[in-house]
Formats: sequence, C-alpha cells, structure tokens
Amino acid sequence: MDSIFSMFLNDYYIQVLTMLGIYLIGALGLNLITGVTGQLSFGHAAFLSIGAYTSAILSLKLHIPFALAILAGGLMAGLWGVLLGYPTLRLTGDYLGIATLGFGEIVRVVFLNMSITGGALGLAGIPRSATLTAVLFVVILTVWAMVRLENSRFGRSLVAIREDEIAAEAMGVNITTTKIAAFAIGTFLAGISGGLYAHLIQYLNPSDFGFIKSFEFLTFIVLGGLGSIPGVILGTSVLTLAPEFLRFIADYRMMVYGLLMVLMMIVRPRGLLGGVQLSRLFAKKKVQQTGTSACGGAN
Amino acid sequence: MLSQQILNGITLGATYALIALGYTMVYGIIQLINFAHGEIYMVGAFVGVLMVTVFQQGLLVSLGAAMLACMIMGVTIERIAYRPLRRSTRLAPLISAIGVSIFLQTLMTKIKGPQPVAFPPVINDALYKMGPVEISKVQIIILIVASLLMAALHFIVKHVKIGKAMRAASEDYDTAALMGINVNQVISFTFAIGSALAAAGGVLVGIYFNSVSPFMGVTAGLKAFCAAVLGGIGSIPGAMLGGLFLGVAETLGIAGGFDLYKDAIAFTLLIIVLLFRPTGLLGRPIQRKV
Amino acid sequence: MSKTILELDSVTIRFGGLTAVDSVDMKIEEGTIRALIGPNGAGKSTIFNLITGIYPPTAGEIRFLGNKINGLKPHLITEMGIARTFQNIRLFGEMTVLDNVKIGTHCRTCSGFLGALVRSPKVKAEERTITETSMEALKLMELDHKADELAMNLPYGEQRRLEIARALASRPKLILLDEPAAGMNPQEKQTLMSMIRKIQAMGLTIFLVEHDMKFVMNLSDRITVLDYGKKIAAGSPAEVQRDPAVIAAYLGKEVV
Repeated sequence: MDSIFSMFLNDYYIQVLTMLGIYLIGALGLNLITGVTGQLSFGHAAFLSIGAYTSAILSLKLHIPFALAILAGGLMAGLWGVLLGYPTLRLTGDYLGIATLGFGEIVRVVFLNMSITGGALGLAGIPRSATLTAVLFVVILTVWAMVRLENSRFGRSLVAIREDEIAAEAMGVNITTTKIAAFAIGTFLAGISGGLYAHLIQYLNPSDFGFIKSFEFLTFIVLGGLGSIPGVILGTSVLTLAPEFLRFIADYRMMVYGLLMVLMMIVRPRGLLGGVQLSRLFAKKKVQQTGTSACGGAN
Repeated sequence: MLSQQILNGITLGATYALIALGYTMVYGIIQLINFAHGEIYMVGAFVGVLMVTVFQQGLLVSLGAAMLACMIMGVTIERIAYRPLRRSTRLAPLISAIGVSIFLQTLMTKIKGPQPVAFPPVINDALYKMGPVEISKVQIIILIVASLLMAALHFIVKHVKIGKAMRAASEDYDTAALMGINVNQVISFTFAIGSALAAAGGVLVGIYFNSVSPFMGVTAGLKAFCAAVLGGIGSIPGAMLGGLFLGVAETLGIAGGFDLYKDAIAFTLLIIVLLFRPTGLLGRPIQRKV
Repeated sequence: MSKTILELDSVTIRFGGLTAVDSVDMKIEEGTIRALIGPNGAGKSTIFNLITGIYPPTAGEIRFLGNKINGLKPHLITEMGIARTFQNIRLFGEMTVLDNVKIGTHCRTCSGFLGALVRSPKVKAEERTITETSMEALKLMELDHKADELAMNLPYGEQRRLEIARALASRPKLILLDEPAAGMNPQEKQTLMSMIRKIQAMGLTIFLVEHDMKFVMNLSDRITVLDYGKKIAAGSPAEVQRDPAVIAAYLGKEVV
C-alpha cells in the first residue's frame, strides 16, 4: 500500500502525513484523559518518550519485531501511567496537572542521564519501520476504539467523572479505578505514538520530549474541541500542518503560531468543534445548543 | 562548607521567590497558571542588558527600567490574552498563555539570536569573608534587592488599599466584586506587580550567572512555579518560603553529588509535597464542597 | 412490626471546632416516607452526606439493613442500595437526559473497557437492559420525551426530577431526596408528590429533606427535626407540629 501512496505523494508529504497520524494517536490518548475524563495532564510527552525509548531499545538491542516493540512501548508507558496515576489521581484539577508536569520533567532528566538511552547524545540508528500504512492502520484502530467507547458503559462513566465527580461517585462509579483506567489507556496510546515516532524519525533525544511537547498535545485537543473525536482530528491536523503551510513566512512562523493560539482561544474558547460527538453527527438527532455553530463544518 | 552552600542556595532561592510571587498572586485571584510568566522574566533580563549596554546606565536605573517595561508588558498581556477568556473553560486561558509564551520566546530569538548573551559587568566581583563563608558583592546585592522588594510587596498587600483589595479578591473573587471592588483594576495591578518582580529576578539572575538567553524563562519559570506550589499556591509568604526552600535544596543537591539530576530535584520535591500535603507548605487544606 | 432499614446511632461530625451533627439517633422503617426538617444550617444535608459516605462521621455508627456502612466509599454504599439527589442539582450537564440516567445503572452492570470494544452479545444485552431500565425511570418521572436533550438545557423543575430518575435507575432500597421540591411551582409540587408516592408504592423507603412544610406534612409518615446539629423532636406530622421545641426553633424563641 505504501507504493500506492508514493505514486501520488512525494516523500515529503508522506513524511508529514505519517507524522500527523502519529501525533493523532497520542492526541486521542490525551483526549481520553483530559477531554473525556476531565483530568488535566501536562506530562503527556513523558509517556511518549517512555514508549519511544522502550520500543527503540527493543528494536536496536534485541531486534524484536517492529509491531511487538511498539506494543511493548505502549504497555510500558501505560504501566508508568498507572504507577503515576495511582497516587496522583486523587489530586484535583490543577494539582494533578502540576504533578504530571513534574513527572514529565523528571522523566526527561532521567533519560538524559541514562546510558542505555544514549543520554544527551540521543539514540540513533533506529530502523525506519513506521510506514504510512502501518501508522494509518493504528490510527483507524484507535479512532474506532474511541468511537466505540463514546456510547458504552465505561465511556459514560468517564464523562460522568468529568461532569461531576461527586455525583458520579454517588451514582456508584468507582472514581479511582475508572480514572486510573482512563489514564492507563491514554498513556498506552501515548506510548504507541512515541514508539511509532522513534521508528519514523530514527533518532531520539530527551530534549524532544520536554514540557513544550506536552503542551503541544494539549493544544491539539483544546483547539479542536475537548472531548470531541472529530475535534481532535481537526485540531491535530491544523496544528501539525500549519507550520508546514506557514513555511513561506519562514522565521516568523513560530511567532505567528503563538499569536494564532491566542487568537483562536479568544474567538472560540471551546475549540473549533467543542461538544461534537462523532456518533451523534450521524444519529440525525437534535444535538445541542451550546454555541457550536461550527457543527456543520464537520460533516 | 555547608554554610557556604546554604548561602548560595538562599541567593538562588531569592530569585526563584521573586518569580514565584507572580505565579502565586495571579493564581490566587484568577486561578490561572500564567505560563507566560517565565518569558516576562526573560524579557526583563534582556531589558536590563539593553539599559546597561546601549544606554550606559547603572544597576539601579537598569533594574527600574526592566521592572517598568515588564509591568506594562504584563498588564498588556492580561488585557489581550487572558481577560477575554475569564469566563470560559479553564484550559482556554492556559493555552492562550502558552501561545503568548511561544510568541515572546521566538520574538526574542528573532531580535537577539538564540545564543546566550553575557551580562555586561555592572558590579565588580569583590568577595567578602564573613567567618566561614565567602559572599560576593553580587550575592549581597541580590539578597538586599530581593528583601527590599518583598518587604515592599508585604507593605502593599497589608497596608495599601489596592493591596488589600487584592487580598480580598484572592479570598473570594465574587464577593469582592459585589463589595464594589473593581476586580479588573485589581487583576491589572496584580499582573503589574508580579511582572515587575519577575523582571527584577531576571536582571539579578542575569548578573549572577552572567548570561541571558531567550530560553532562560522556560526552566526558571517552571522551577519558580514549583516553588509557588511547594509553598502553597495562592499564598504570598508561601511563595517566598518555597523559593528559598527550593534554592537551598537544589544547591545542596548539587553539592551532594546529584548535579546531573539538578533539574529533577525541584520536580521530585514537588511531587512528594503534592502527595503528602497537596496544598503546599503554607496552603490552606481543601474542604470538599457538596 | 416493620423492619428497620436505616439506623443512625449517635452520629457526630465535627468540622474544625464546629459540631455540624451532634450525636443524632434515628431509625427509619422500611417502606415509609421520612422527612428531615430544621432551620437553615441545622445539618440536614450533612446527615445525607454522612449516610452516603461523602464525609466519614467523627463518632457513631450508621447501619443499613443491619450492616455498618460508615467508612465505606460512596460508590459501595450506592451499590448496597442507597441512592440520593443533591440540594444544589448535580447533573452531568453535557450528557443527554438518557445518559444521565444510564449512569445510575452503573452499579448494577459490569461491562468495562474491553466490553465496549468487543461488544459481545452479552454486552449488547446488558446495554439493552441499561436503556430499558433508564427509560422506565424516565417514564416514571415523566421525562421520557426529553431523553435526547442535554441535561443542562432542561428547566429547573425537570432537572430535579431527572436527579430522582437517575437515583432510581440504581435500583435502590432507600432513596434520599435533598430538597426535591425546591424552586418548583405549586403545580409541579403536586405532580412531584404523586410521583414520590408512586416510588413508595414500588416498595422503596424515602428519606427527604424539605423546607416546604405543606409538602412535608402531606407526604411524610414520620418527621425528624434537627436544630444546630441536634435532634430536637421526632414523630408523626401532627405530633411534630405541636412540639414546643420545634415551634421555638422555627420561630426563634429566645431560650434564656
């Protein structure tokens, strides 16, 4: 299938699209934690880096098959998600965000000082196994899983926690285990995303996974509309592709990018597609009246 | 040796405290983690360099100019990027703050280039011996300036009308507004004061480490934010205490052989404190409201 | 002699120096409607929060069907068969009316993350049951025609009824209603009263806090009166109305 892609797209576009897919997987993971369950995470990049290093090291040192290495990366990130989540998820709102931010920085410094990760020199020579086809496959799988969650017993309990933790608890939702489950799935996806990233860029450096990266992911999901799958897809696409389109202003593009972020928030603080659910777009029911005039744009 | 490290730690901590105050005051009133605050500190340092090199001014004038410039900048940022978002979701102003932060960082990189700039010598590097410790003139000045600024802040908050209004707004925003306090004015004032303190911190750190760079605000900002949380976010004495605590812990950590993990010390302390005392050392405990 | 469903045994809670609930004893018989009344700040909602496990009592014991429940997490208490509504409505605003009620069935169902992905026949069957149970609860509260609307868009009175529907979906034995009639007009109150009677007829025990005296006197089998965290009276509506301590508490007679 990759040969079909390369008939229509040059290598550069294939690279950009593959990257977009990889980011999308990570963004959907963060969306589950922050957008759906309402738990603020500022440390998403740390889980990407855990997945990236785990899978890269498995590929490089143990020559484990690509798919297994990626899966292992995801599981390792999910495991750390549970280890961090267990003590911290009882913290509310901003404090949880702050704790995850701290965790992210600690992970970065640890990777910087480990020998197996190559420290500040980074880890090079990772095989380029993450083809557009492979990434697309994972993206479709992830989107499918997220859509299925939306109208399930588990998915509803996540939204209930976001909407009102005390009421959810009083209705019989075990908020601790549910939050940890959401955190585990979200960080697992971050790990998968990181593993694919490693096998596309072929080089890892801890400084690529600083808190700026965590915020980038947060921006992806907020810009599109928290908790909305089409929103996440739109937000991630716009923000991954924007710097590419902004190349004509060369040196000023990050400046413009920063300004656009501010402007976007002022114009649409709930995101481009705030509140739109994929499954409901097709259900042809009266959806809602919470100021989402951009609803039609998603059809 | 230990007392020398503690002195160095307090000096570093005093600069963290200056930045942390801005985080804590803003958070206290509008519950926003102002992620652009580190960039204000960075711009402050650059204004200081500009005053010394281009305008040939001494320390005090440069410091004053940096504080004034950042005051205006802080108030402007709040007006443009945060005020329109005051009634929207919690994440929107946060994202907006990150946008401002990226903008300022890249703007400064565009103007001055990505390389660190040396801070021209405004203070001679005299060393004084005080018993077992050596203290440099720079350190003395940092400690004096920081103490004076914090004393001034304390005075404003306790005895000046707008400072009292600030405390009222941080206690209960809505009631303060109902009582006729002009909250917009109070918020502007908070940003002005916080930014001025950060600018002073920027100039002092620039002199202390003899280096100013467009990226200096990122780590310093995060650590100062840690300091604010350690002390109990929203609490002014907490930010001072947290800053000093963090400075000393970091210096001792480096002396104790953890220099490679220097940047992780602050965050490890942060997580430990959050787990055992989620509202920080001087913060009030949260009561679950039903 | 009917069975005791809920028993409070000198339950006390202190917040700092304030004793919000002070050694309160209470016994509620199965199948009855019990009201808890008292002036503002008397500790009524706090008692609900104690029963549902949001606050652990400082002293005393709470027993549900003979089992001690204080110290249990709220979701476990719900699972045992106590559901509640909140004084300041706590709905899941951005979820539909139906989804709000579906959350109520959470403790009676079991499929999880994998179930959501695989959707085996068993999971599908469970999902059907969830929908049926929830629609029944909505019908009972006369909200079934609004199933697809967002909870936040409902008018106030309907939001209160939705909270009751959500609580009912958890198939409770005891339901705690915190000011169910607050903010309703007389007509709505009438409807609500008949709904509550219907719930009682289904075999549920009802424990409610309410300020509207007409509502309370018409509906309750027994009333407990609270003032400054202490139980000052208990009995039938007629007995309570005559009780001098109650009259004093409501009219604010100075006790010298």
